[in-house]
Amino acid sequence: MLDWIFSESFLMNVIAYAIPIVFAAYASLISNKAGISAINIEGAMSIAAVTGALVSHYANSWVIGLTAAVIAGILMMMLLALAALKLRADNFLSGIALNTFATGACLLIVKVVLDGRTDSSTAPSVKVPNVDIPLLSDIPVIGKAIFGQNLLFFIALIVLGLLILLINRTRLGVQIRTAGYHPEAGESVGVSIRRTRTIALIICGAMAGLGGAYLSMANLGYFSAGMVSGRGFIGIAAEAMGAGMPVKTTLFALLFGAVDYFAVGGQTVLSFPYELLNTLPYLMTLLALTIYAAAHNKKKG
Amino acid sequence: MSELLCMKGITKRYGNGVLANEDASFSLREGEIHAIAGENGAGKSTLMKILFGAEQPTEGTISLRGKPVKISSPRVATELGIGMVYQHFMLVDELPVYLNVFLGVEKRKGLLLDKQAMIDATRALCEKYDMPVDPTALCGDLPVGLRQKVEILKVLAREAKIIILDEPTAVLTPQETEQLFHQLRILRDNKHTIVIITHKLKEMKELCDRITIMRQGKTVGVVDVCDVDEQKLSELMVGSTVRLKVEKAPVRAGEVVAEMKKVTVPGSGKPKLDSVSFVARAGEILCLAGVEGNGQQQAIECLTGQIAYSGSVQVLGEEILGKSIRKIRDLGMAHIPEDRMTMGTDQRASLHENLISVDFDRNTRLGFLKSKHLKARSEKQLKDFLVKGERQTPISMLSGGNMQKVVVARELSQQPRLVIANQPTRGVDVGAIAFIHEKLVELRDQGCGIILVSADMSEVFSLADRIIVFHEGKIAAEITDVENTTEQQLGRYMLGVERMEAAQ
Amino acid sequence: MKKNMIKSLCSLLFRLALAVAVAAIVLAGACILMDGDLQEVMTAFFLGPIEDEYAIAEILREMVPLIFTGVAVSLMVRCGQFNMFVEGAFFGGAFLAGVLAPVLGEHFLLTPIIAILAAAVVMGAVGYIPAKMKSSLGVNEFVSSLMLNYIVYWVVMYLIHGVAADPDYPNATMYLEDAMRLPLLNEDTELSSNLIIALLVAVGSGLFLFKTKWGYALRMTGDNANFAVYSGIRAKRYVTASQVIGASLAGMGGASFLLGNYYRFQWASLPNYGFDGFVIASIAGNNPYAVPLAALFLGYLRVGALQVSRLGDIPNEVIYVIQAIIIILFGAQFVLSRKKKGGKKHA
Repeated sequence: MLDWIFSESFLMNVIAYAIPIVFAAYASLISNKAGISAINIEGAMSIAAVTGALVSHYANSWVIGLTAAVIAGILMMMLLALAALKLRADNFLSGIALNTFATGACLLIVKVVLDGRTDSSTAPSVKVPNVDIPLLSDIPVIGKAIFGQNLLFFIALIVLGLLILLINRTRLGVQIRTAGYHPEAGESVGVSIRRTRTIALIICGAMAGLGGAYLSMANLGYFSAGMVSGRGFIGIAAEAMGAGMPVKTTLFALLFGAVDYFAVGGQTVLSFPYELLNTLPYLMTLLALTIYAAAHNKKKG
Repeated sequence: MSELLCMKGITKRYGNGVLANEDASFSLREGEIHAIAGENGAGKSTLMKILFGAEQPTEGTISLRGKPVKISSPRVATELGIGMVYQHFMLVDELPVYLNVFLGVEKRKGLLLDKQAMIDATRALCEKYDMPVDPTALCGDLPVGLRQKVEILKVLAREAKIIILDEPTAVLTPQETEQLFHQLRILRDNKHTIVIITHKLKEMKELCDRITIMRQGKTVGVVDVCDVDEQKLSELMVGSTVRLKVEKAPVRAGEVVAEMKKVTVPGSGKPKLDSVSFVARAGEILCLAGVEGNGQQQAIECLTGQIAYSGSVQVLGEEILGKSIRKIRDLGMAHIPEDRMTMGTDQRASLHENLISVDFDRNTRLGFLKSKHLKARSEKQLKDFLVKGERQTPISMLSGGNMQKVVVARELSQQPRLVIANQPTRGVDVGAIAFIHEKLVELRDQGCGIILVSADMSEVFSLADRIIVFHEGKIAAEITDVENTTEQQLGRYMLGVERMEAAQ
Repeated sequence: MKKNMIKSLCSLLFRLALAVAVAAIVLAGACILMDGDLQEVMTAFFLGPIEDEYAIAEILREMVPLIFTGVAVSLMVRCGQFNMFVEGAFFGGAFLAGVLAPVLGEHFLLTPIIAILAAAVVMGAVGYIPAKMKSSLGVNEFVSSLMLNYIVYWVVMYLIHGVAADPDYPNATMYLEDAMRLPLLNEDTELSSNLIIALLVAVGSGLFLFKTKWGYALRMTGDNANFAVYSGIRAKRYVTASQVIGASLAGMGGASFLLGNYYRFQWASLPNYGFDGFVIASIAGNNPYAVPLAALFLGYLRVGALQVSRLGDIPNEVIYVIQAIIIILFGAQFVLSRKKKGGKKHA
């Protein structure tokens, strides 16, 4: 088992499994910063996954597929904006509704496009390529894992930098934080809270779109119903533990990715029932949430 | 001086038919400090919100420098050079001062924020108007007085010429108030025009040039400060000289119903309550007086079992540390809370459901509420306390006065031996005030102990048998001879100018 | 009192009409997109569910899980809790009943009832985890309960692939003899008596919520926890209790559903009834008495969608789209009506 954990492929896979969680966590981060909770990140990822897979297949281009996935993610979040911001439906209930919507819509789309199938393995995606940075990827152990990753990993790194810049150094960032911390203060000086939150949801949707696309266009070569399987929610949990701080959030997402991979990869390496291994990421999240809350309460006194 | 601004015939009627302003008028001269005075609910705030574009008038016109203007939003008001400092600060605690000051009008260099420019500009404003604020501090870390300065800086950063302040001194210590007045005068000298909403006579006399007096949504007069004295002003504000006089028998204080011994409640830095001891007795109304934020609130929270403390608090003979609120209530304590919207009522529940919340579980059979009995009881309580309103609709439909009467009805119907009344008549109409006062005195005459917290001086003087004055978490004075104490004397204790040696 | 009831009934009917309109529009849209015959589709959707007693029995069957989860969600939401464990508890409850009933043996009525009660107790106990985490530590119940769903799912998968499985029938529990199941109300349409249990649960929960001291305390806690605490109600206790009760009812629902309509437990994925509970609760305005009506309504729509899918052009999943729009509409309505009432604060 230790051999396995310290092998080059382990780290490689941990990062690979963490990428969708990282994107989901960023999506959650930006929406929470603006004071709206996007619990339909899960659903948006799913819609993005199916869109990316099918569009890339038929357009025969991963660029178009990826773009379509991002747009699909944004559209899903615009539905949330419509429900929660425009129609003023309950934020939470709308999120649940949109997750339900996504569950059905994904199946509906695959079934209609692929004549009653529930996955798109017969119409494989054009995959987002891996990037191999010369020299650096030759570094032993970590080289391949970090510098030979999928393009979306590097996009995630760029997004991280942009997020930090956006939140701390731009006018939009200040407005987003105002919308989250004290919306009335924003309104009182003419910052439109609804507009700000909508913009945050656009960014959130794009993040969810990238996360979903990763699942069906990089990790696996096709869409399959239920493939998001709670990663959107785990991303939300990672963000909660990261307390809204981008770097800390990323680290927690990586941790959850590690556990996620441990559960999947362990099935062949460890003599342990895979069903129980599969509970690990969720157990871990539950445990982490508890510890985090307990520590937080203690600090508050 | 020329007329800068003129509001004429302003009427504001809300969707639910409530009339906040009726044919009100208001005018401003350039470079003056102008007070808008009136009691709670006189329509001062609404009128100013209309001026700032936060509310739209149903009727009426506004003109600025002779030209008619339509102020459709705060943004328009800001562009016209009108700024407002709200009573409840509109600051983002998590952002530094400079970002709050420039919120919505951030300075930028390319795509990114120009942090240094904003810090420098904030610092320049601070120096110009003599405000000691650190531009890089987090707003949440600042004391109230400085937070208010940030609000003013915010308005100044938008180059407002007319600055409206909504009850700016309500949350300030005397020194902070002094400082604020000093800065407001500098502002006036720099050609700013200032409007302050207030109901404190002393401040008007000290600071202002002119006063517009409002009553029941209407403007009842505009006076030059030098032409009137406080007596005259208060008459204008109240209408007739209503000196609330509550009929009550001489006090017959009985056994101790509540006692605090060396009670300390920690705060950030200074303790909120600092080794406070006092007793309350049956058959008397003990008033805990003080400027808001000097520890009265914490004393009440201790007595009602809401916060932890060190020392000893006894309610009706029992130490309450670790006791649940239910247990304390069962001893015979009733509590009229300060905020009826967030604590005193369930806004979504009916009147009846609001009336049974403290003893519903004593009226059950096999877990089922005895609803017939309880409903009849509620009906009687509503009748006894003269509550007007539909029984089955949510209590949120009621007016403030009727809502408060429901709270009072619930609490006083418990046959309490100790009543803790925290601002029991705040934001309530005159009729309801008199009624609630009567009920409190009635209970006191029956031998119930009453602890009253009130920010309303006339309420304190008309009800209290004994007054304990809080200042900075300590007891500054204990006044037993209320009859022969003047408001000025009480004010000196409240502001910490004087303290009684024997008090602690 | 009466006036109020009529008023709320009218508003409910109005919203139902709105929802039907939404369903019709979505279907019409789907028709255009997927080349269906509009008239045929509409007939199947609106009249299909009542074309014969089998279709009607299908509606009534659909109602059962919806009533259980709808009531469970209503109770939790009334206390201000958005707990998703209803989903896992329904699944877990069904599994438990599937395992327990064969162990208990063939005792008419006794076996299913004990199995159902056991499922309720066990799922209530599992539901205590996120509930206690929320009330004691303030852990967001939404995320924790979702995680718990996945955990329950995989544990059940583990058991059903191993110790709990029928050796002769892979990935399923032992066969349920008739005496281990809930009796049928109608042999022909195979309508099960679990509908009666569901209706009893709805009425019982309504009584609990509106007539008992616990229900009252639970509602006050959900409306305004500050007020509840100030009044001497132990709000935390009700925050926990509402979620435990919800999980317990959902577990009961899963068990009743299985022992009424199945011969083995062999579900391979989470059935989504927990999320449906939110649809029902939002249609019913979180009122347990109105839940059966809401379930009847949604059941009708679902059987309608099923009939439509039998025509071949439009897949069954279109119902999810319709449902999502319905929740949002009802959610919007709910907030709007509350906002109007809050308007007086300015005065």
